[in-house]
Amino acid sequence: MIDRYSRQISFIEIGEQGQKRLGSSSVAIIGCGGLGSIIATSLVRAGVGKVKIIDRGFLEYHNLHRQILYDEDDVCSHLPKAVAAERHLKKVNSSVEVEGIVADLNRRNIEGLLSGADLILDASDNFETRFVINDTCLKHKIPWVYGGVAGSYGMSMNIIPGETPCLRCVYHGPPAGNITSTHERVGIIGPAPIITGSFQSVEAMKILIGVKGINRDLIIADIWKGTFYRIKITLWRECPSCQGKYEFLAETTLRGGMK
Amino acid sequence: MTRRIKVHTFGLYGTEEIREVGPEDAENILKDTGVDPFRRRIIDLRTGEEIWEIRPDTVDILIVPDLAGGG
Repeated sequence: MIDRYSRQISFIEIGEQGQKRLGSSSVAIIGCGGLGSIIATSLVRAGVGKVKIIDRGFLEYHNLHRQILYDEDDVCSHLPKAVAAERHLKKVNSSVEVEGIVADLNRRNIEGLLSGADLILDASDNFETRFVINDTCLKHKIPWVYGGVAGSYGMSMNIIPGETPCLRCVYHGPPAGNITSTHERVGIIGPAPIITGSFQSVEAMKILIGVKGINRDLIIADIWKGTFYRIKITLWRECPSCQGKYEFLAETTLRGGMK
Repeated sequence: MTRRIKVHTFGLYGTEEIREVGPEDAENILKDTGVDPFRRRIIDLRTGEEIWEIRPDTVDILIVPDLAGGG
C-alpha cells in the first residue's frame, strides 16, 4: 500500500511521517460541486484516512464541464452528488473511508455532521453556510479552509481558530440578498474551481501534516488573466466570532434567510 | 502629467477588470466600498495590505471580491 504513495512520500515536505499523519486524519468537505470535486479527489488520492462529503444537490448536465468527479451515467441516474462522489471515490482509493451524506447543512445539524473532523473544507455555494461553518469551527477550534469561485477566478484562505483572522474578519456578514448563484450571472470555466480547489487541497494537506508557517493570506487567482494575488488580512478587533459570540449558530440569526 | 490609479475589480464579467481613475475617483471608490454593509476591503497591491486612504504613493488598488460560489 505504501507504494501507492511512494511519489508523494518522496516529496520532502511530506515524507513518511507526513503520509502517516494524512492517513490518520479525518476531513469533512462541505459541498461537492466544482471545488468539492477537486478537493475530494485530491485528498482521497493523497490518502487522507477519512473523508466525509456533505452535499444536498443532485447532478445536472450543466455540472459536468467543471465537476470532475461525475459522468453522464450519474446524471442519467439522477444521483445526489454525495452518493455519486462516494461511489467514485471508493473506486479511486479503497483504503480511504469515504462517506457521502445527502444533507442541507445548517446551524441545527452542523455540529453533529462535523463532529470528529480534524479539518473542514468549504466548497459550499452560499455565504450564510460559510458563516455557520466559521462560527462552528471557531467554537470547536477546528481549522477550516475557505474557498469561493466564479467566472475565471477563485479565492481561498486558511482559518485557524485562535491564530488567524476568521471569515467575519474578512467579511463582516453575508451580503444583502445572499448571492447564491454567481455562476448563473457570470458563468464559470472548469479550470477556475480546479485551481482554487487545488489551493485548498494543498493547504489542507499542510494543515493536517502540521507544517509550520502555513499560508495566512487570502489568495486570489484569475486563471483567464493569469493573475495571482496574496492579500494580508488583519484581525477585525470587534469580530463577534473571534470573541466567542457565535451569532450564526443562534436561534435568532442576523438574517431572516438562515435555516 | 495627470496621476492615474489602477483599480482591479472582479465580478461583473467573471474575470479581472482593470480601469484607471484619478485620485478623487479612487477616494470615492474607497468611501463607497467602506460603507458597504458587506465591507469589502481595498488592498494596495504594491504592499498587499489593506488601505483606508489613497496615499501619494498608491498606484494599484484591488477590491476584494465577494465570492459565494463553490463551483
